[in-house]
Amino acid sequence: MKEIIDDKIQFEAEKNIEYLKELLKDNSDVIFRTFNVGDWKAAIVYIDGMADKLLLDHYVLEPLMLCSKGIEKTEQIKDNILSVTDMREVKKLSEGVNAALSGETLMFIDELNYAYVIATRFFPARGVGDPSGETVIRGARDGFTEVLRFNTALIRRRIRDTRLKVKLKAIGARSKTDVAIMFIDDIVNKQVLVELQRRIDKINIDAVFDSAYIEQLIEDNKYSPFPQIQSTERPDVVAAALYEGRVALVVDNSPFIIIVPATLPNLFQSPDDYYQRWMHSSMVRFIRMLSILISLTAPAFYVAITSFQPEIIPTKLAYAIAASREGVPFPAFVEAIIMELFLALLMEAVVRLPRPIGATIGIVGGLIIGQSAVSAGIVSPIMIIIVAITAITTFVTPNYEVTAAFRLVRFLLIIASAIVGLYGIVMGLIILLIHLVRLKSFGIPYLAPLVDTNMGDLKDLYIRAPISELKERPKYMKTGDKIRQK
Amino acid sequence: MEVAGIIMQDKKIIGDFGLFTTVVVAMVGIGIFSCPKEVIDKVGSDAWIVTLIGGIVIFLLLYLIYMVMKKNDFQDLTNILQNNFGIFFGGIFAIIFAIYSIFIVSLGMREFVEVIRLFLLRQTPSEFILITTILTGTYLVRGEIGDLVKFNEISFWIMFLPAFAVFILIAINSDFTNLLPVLNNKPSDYFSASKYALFCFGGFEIAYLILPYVKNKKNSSRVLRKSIMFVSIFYIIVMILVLAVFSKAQGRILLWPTISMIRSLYIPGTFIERWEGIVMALWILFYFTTFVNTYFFAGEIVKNVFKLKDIKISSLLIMPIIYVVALYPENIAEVYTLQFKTTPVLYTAIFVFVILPILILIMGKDKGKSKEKGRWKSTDEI
Repeated sequence: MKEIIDDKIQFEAEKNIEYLKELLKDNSDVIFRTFNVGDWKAAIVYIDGMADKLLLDHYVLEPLMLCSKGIEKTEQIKDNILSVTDMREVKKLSEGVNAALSGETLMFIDELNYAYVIATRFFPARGVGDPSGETVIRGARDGFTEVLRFNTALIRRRIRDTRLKVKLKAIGARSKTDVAIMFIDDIVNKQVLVELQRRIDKINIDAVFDSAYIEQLIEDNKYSPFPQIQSTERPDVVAAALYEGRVALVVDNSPFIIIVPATLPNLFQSPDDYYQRWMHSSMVRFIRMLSILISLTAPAFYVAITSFQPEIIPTKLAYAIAASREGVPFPAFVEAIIMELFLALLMEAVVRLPRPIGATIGIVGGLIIGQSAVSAGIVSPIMIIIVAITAITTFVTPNYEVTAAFRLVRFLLIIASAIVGLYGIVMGLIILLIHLVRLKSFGIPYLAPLVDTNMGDLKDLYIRAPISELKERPKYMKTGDKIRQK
Repeated sequence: MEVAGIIMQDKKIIGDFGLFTTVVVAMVGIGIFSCPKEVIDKVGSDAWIVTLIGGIVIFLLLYLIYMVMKKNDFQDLTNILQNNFGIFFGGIFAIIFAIYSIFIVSLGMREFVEVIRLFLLRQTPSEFILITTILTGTYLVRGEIGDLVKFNEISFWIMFLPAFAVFILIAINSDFTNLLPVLNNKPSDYFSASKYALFCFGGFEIAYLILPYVKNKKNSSRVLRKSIMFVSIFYIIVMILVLAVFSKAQGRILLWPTISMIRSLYIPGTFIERWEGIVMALWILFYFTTFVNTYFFAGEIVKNVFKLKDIKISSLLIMPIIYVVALYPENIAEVYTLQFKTTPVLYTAIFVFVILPILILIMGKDKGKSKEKGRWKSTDEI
């Protein structure tokens, strides 16, 4: 998979260019330009559309071609003529070619056995926009973009600390996608960092298109429905995570930054929890916990009650449910599965459609079909209520991936309760609990701090204590520096 | 790609709360249902006193375990037995230990299945409930001990918060004069009743499994005392409530007076009218934790004695034994006979919990050398 490039850079610029022309033939977007600097030959190579031509014209070619008087050795050119800020020397040709392919300009000059790489990256990019997946009532409105450097800048704007580190690495044998590993040196959990680097080094794939690729290649358990790595489009979330001793991975071409390690309670938090007043945030957290419980068990509970244990609800209600189900041709299980599938369909359709049409689908699918299905006697009105409650409670969770995982579990619970009723639900929940207990994210228990509880961590778990009370960084992250405020 | 394989080694260090919850959830199990009937049958309204005595006796036995572990530098049980009695006899004693634990927990499993069938699933075959429970337990046992303890920590809250809520609600409608008269029985009755009370506390041998992994060993004896106190109080409350709700005459007749007591629960203004189904569903966890902890314990012993690679293999060996033993009794009465009235079982219990630890304490030479190579010493220093 790895291509072989002759690493040696020749003393004559022409020879290098000839070699590169052979290497990069049949490429209409590669520009080779040979010119004279005094008595010497020089040449530049760049990709049309990815390099800043104006910069090359005015600050590279113009001074080189016009002001080369007084230069005795080619070594002096860099220090006396080239008026660009960001440039470096490369000794290996392959390194130079990689730089040229990512938008920089490669320059050869006679009598030098190295080349210059001039930072000229300039390509079409989307500006900083609203993070549409994670909206907040109060808080910053900037979201990540597809350009790695913009993203690292957005994060560094929030951490002006010499100890913030941004390590760069290229992943993908062909795509050579830049990945920046960001962490704060004295806070980060060193074990996590080492483990992350080990797993990244093990990646051997030809191309990486999005941080999701990296995420799936380095996660702990690929057979789990639960995301073990957090992804976000909000710089403030990343910065807060770095301050908690976690590590962020910025992947070029992806507006989603991934954060490791992630625990389930992490994924249940929204930045708004910290921006709103603490009582309100604490209440919202309770509502979230309640809603996840309801969304997990409501349909399964309905199936269990109607098919196995009708005696536990009040007799009148049992009669009412039975009456409303009169004429429905399916057993409760089939009814629940049909409606849940319909809900999943509806959600999938709305996601893929442009917004105005999506709203129409919502109305047609939700209101009209729901109403007509009841009048036609295909499903019972109680089932519609249950599905609606499930749908609403599902969306209370801020993280879409966790929602998706719980949706999957919900289906399994419906099936379990259709087979053995309440026993099935409880056994299903026990299996879920065992699964979560066994999961780890980079050595940190997935349920931390629900397990291995430390009293200090409880201030930011079920409730969110006032900011002035949150004096320590999370204990379960095993951070270096432990104190947040004095 | 085997990513998860080489993660940093779990240091296998368990906190005080982990120790507390593990001992508590391993002890509180099926006994809630079976014990009140037997004890009330023997001593009537003094049942709670017998439970208290049972708690004290169990505490002494647990302290014995602690002494044994302390003397042997908190190694695991198999190591201790083999160091003191030689590889062969130590191995046999360890296996007896494992078999006894598995035997008792399998009988409990049968009782569990019968309760589930009676109250939740009338038409489902026992085998199905049995297999699903064993498989679910195996899923947890195949993990690490740290995972088991985490499971216990979370289960503790799920079990006891609702349980105490239920107790309070039941206490409102009960008549505490039923507890009188006090101390109105022959001494021999107390003795025979305490036999049943002791069975409530079965599962405390989990201390053998868990103590070697505990982080702060200085606190352990205090934490163990706390967990015994917690369990004793829990059972005493159950006894008192059963007596208060039913009186001793009624408590004798009912098969599972605790369940009947829950049936009387009525909470106005709720969506649910008859709570026994819900409480039964929650109660599954009470038995499940006892089962899974004992299962892990037995698996660990089998693994160490036969020098198997990991607990995944030994759990597979134990699985069919649980299944067969649980299905062996014809009915629930036979389960109780096997549990309480079979002399070999009783003698094994006495041997395992009383004679064996005392033997180790007496026989154990001064293990000056073994302190150097103590297994957990090195991990403590990390």
